[in-house]
Amino acid sequence: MIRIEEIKVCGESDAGAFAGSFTFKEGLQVVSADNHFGKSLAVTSIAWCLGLEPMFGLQDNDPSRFPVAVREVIDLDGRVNVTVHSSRSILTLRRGDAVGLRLTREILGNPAEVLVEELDVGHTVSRTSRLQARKQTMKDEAAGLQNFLFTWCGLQRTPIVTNRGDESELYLENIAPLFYIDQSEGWTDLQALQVYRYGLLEISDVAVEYLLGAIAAIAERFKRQTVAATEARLKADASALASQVGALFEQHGWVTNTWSDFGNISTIVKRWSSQTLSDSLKTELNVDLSVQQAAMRERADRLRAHLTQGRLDPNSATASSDVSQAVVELKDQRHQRREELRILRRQQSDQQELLINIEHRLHSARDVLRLKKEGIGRIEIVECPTCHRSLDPSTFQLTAQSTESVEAHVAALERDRTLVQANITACENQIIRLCADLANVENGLRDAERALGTVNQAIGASREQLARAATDLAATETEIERISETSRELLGLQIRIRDWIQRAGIAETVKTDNTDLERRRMEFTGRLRELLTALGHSAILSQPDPNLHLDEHYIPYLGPRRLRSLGSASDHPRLVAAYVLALAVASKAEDGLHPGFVVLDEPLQQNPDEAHRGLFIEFLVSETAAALKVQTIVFTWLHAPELARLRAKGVNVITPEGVHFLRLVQVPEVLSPAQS
Amino acid sequence: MPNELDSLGELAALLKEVGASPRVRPERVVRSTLYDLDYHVALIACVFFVPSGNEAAGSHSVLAHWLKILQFIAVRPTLLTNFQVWATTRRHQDLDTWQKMPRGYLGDSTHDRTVELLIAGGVLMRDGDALVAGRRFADLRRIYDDLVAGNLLSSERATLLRLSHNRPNKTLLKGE
Repeated sequence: MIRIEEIKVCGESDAGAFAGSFTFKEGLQVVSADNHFGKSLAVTSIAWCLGLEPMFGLQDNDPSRFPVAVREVIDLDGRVNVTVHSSRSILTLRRGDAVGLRLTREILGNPAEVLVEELDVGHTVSRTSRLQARKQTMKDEAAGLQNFLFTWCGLQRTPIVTNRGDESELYLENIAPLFYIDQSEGWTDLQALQVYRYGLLEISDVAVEYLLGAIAAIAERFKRQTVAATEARLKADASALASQVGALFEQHGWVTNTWSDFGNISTIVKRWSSQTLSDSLKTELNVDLSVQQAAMRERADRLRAHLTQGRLDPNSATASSDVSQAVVELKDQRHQRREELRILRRQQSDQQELLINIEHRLHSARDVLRLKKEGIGRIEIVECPTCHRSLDPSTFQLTAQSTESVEAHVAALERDRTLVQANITACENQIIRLCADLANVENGLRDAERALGTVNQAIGASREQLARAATDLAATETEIERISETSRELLGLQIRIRDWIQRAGIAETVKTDNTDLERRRMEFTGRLRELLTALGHSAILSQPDPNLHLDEHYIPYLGPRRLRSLGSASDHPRLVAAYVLALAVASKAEDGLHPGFVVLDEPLQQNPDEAHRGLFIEFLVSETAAALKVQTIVFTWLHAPELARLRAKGVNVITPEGVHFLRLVQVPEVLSPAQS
Repeated sequence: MPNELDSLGELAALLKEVGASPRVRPERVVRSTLYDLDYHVALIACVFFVPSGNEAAGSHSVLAHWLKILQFIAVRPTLLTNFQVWATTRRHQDLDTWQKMPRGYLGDSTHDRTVELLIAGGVLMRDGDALVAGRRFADLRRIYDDLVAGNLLSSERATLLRLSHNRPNKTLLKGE
């Protein structure tokens, strides 16, 4: 465990050197000083020396949380607006084995570096180094401040997942909000801001688990998040692959659901590994590209033979008429396909409109069903205003349907909806096939028109026959090339699918063992209940046996409601104080990773009414507070009777002298040789 | 549904006579909620109380033919856009010139009978071409409040709200 030994701020100004410091012991201690004394300056120095400014949403090395007294001008011993030349914060920490560490970071000067002095038991500096406060603070093994601090404090390095699915690490600023309660932001919900500031997944939960020492739970969480991120990536890759396969199939009018990205990873793996793309084409769509290619090659060979060695009939005029007939037939086919396509699109549009109508009717019918079941919005009795006889709706040829009848209607509408959805899908598939077919017909027509033009230009029957054979050969070779291109694309996609299946196949599952975490969580809950009672949380005190528990995000609940929403407004700082202290005490009991000190800055300013003050003083003099085994430093201002009461109970109270924390440093008088 | 079932039975018998073997599934023959009295009463309540924004507070009067159009479109919201385009672009609109007017509109007798029932029950009264509040008009208000509280017929109410920007005129209603 670590404790804060000293906080010091010093610097140089036009009026000379200035300084101020607080020295702390173990256990609970209360620093009481007037407002404007400079308590917050000392508290800010702790975070500054540890390089925690991002915790407050500041850029790296930005000292703007400090007052102007240490950045620009300062009032010193009656002199106002004295220019400050340089200033620095010094934080001295002491480990359980009495080894110390002094961190010095410039406020006005170069704040990027921190002077780190390792102190031995006798306060002698054993080693000095300059480390980077923020730049690569964790990753730089040689010069990163946090890298050094984690090692020196014996804190374990923990990987966590960012919201992009990448791996990152737990930084000091992620856990500090749970032991460093700053006056302006700490008493609100600083933890909740962490996710947005650092883009880390479930960081609030990880921070609590880390301080409790539940490293196994964090490792499991990390593994689970990594698996989830991998699965999300695999799913995105599968979607991209499926859309590429879909586009290629659509181009050729092939419709199948085998290569969609529907389902979870294991379902997709199972479906995609059951067959290859070419097998799927053969079995589901009866398309065999190799057979098509062989047939085309055979045809090309025949045409080539005919062109080079075939006998020509000088009297035959069939070539031109055949080519012309082919053009006419293809034009007719194109017309038919276009007409079918137009009808199908119209049908699809109608079906979609029908589906919208059915959806609306279904919605209305469900409303009517609810109306009948719950008796909402119905006229009970309609009676004649003159004779007061009840009017039977059947007299008006009206009927009010029974609940069963409306239920049957809802079921019928659901069936209709399923049917119409199936029709729309069938329409879409047929449109895809027709579009591909139309594209083929148009290609064929272009070839045929080209052939007709060539044959018409040929002079004589023999040349006409040769021209026809040549254009047929060219068209066939183009078709062969097209089939080859499709085969290549299929092969490329098949390779990528195989890669994907291989990657998806090694996805692992995470086993969960909550035993260790549950023990630590129970300890934390017990301590929290104890501290909330000691601090006088009204919601807890109002129940004889409060059912306090933590949810999966470590948010305290009292029965079914969040504790934060219960009690009075002044209970909130009590909840925050109890939470951070309970975490520290539970960590100590469970040998966790809490650094060992808690700083509470101005708990009374959160609600300065008398009752709140009284409850807090009661806590400070209570046995619970006295039994705290972690260093707890409270910065506040107390009345004289309150101070006396604390002192009487043996609480360590620090009441600094003077008006301000920072004062001119008295230059020691030069001693005469005789005096010396 | 007895009438429908009888008709189906007769049809099945006829088909059997010519050698067919029809299978009748009466559970699939259900009457639509479009013919339900409660649904129509609720729709009329919505027409009267959906806030239009440009009516004097407390005046509950709707032209009978306009009421019929409103409830008809409210249950068929796909007609809304086309109806609004037609109603706002034609200089001399009447229902005969609304090309997409569904054929079922004129034969929509359930609404007419529901109005008759409400008039007979003193919920509504006729005042010339208009339907106005009757002695038991508060019943309609209660129904509307219950519908809103239960978040029922939200789609119909949304359609009526959009239709409230269209003002009826006698030319528009001439086709009735």
